[in-house]
Amino acid sequence: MLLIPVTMAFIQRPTWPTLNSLPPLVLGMLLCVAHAIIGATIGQRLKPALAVPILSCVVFVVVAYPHSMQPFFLRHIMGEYFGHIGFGETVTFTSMLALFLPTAGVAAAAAFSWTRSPVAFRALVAIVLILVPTFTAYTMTKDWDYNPSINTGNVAVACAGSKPQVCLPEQASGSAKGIRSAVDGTFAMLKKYGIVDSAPTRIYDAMIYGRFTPANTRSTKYMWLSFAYKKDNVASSIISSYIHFPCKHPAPQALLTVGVWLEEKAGKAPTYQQISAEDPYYTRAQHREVTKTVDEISVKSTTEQSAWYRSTLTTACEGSR
Amino acid sequence: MIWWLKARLVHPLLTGGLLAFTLLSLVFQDGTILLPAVSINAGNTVLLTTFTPIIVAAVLVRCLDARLPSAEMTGMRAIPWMDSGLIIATLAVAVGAAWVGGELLNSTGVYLAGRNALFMTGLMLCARSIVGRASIVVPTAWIFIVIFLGHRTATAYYPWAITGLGIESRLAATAATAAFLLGTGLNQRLTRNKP
Repeated sequence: MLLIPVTMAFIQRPTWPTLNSLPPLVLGMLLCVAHAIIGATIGQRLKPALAVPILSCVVFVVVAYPHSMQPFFLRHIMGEYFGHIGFGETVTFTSMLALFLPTAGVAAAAAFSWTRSPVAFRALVAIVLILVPTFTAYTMTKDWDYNPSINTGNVAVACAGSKPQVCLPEQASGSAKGIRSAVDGTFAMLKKYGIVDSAPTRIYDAMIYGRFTPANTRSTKYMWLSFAYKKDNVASSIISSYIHFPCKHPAPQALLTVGVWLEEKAGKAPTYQQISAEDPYYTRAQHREVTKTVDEISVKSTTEQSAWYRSTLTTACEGSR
Repeated sequence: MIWWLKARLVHPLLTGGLLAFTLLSLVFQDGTILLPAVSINAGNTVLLTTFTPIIVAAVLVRCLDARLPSAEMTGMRAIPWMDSGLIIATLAVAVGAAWVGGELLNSTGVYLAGRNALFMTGLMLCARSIVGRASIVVPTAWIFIVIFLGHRTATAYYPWAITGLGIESRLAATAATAAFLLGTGLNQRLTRNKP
């Protein structure tokens, strides 16, 4: 039954499954077998009229509910993979084993109850068969947070250009040229106005690392480049990551003015609608003031503009800690 | 009469089932479970008392299926009428217990368990007149259909998802009663003397 959706997807879009994509499917099939053993055993002892509703409801609640429970290890061992596997991510063997062990233990206990041995012995073995795998799975997963253990960076990466070198997954090679020119243009502009001294040596698309984006260093940056390119805001995402106010909470109006000023230089000035979509308290009067300031500054010389930028950084932080 | 009660397993099973239904409903009350595994955005909160009414339906169908075919086929007793009486008495106890529990604990979840027991039993009995012994699958499937497809928003249900609707819903109350009456009627007319 699990093969039906896989086959349907294959017919719809013929792509050979990769070796990495098969283990979750196998895990699902093994879990089905385990549940079938449990169901057959209980169905043998209870009449169908009772076994059907009790098992379906209890199993559903027991498997699905731990996803919203703490401690986190519960959701990694109850038999349903937590979260979606994103681009560049593959499941680890440990995470699948932890998911499988408790259910497999119960199934083994159920299977053992079919043997002809004293009831007390069967009960004892069943308890051991359930507790040992469950405890093993617990020791494997007790330190995990809500993310299961996942491999990332399992992507063929193509780097091109220099200063900064832009590294994208090979699948994004179609938009590589556009992304690179946007990145180069933005850094040239940032350097011109003295926002940055030098571009980083290398920029990686954060998508390569799935949900765990590595920390930026001085020479290496990780950004969601291909997502930003799709939304046509590569420039603004670079700009916003390079405006560093010396305080934690600068005056919002100044922050916005600097942002709009730089994005106008990059040719992608945000409109009132775009900004107010993110900030419901942003008024038209405020927007008029921002654009007025930006228009006044933009006609000045380059050195004056970068001097204005530096003074804004300090004035925006006055009155803030 | 006593033999009929014994054949129908009324003493051990039906009373035990009704007790389990009442106790679990009273314990769960308005307790909900969150199911982010089903949906993160909307409709992931499910009342635990969504599940308890199935106990009434399951136990009842198990009792109705426990027959002494040869003795019943002789036709000396009005077995179908007695069965219908058993169904009505069972649901009267279940709904009554839920109503009293809801009144005492001031809990919507417990009231809902009573109403939904009426609806799901009706559903089961309707199915029983057609598919016979497999009938319990229908209300069991119904629970999951409502959980997976019944949510219109995070808190509201589509009108067809009877068991998800609030206690103030006239539609749900009417549907539950209608399903029960129809089910009891069909069960009496069609599910007769089948071994």
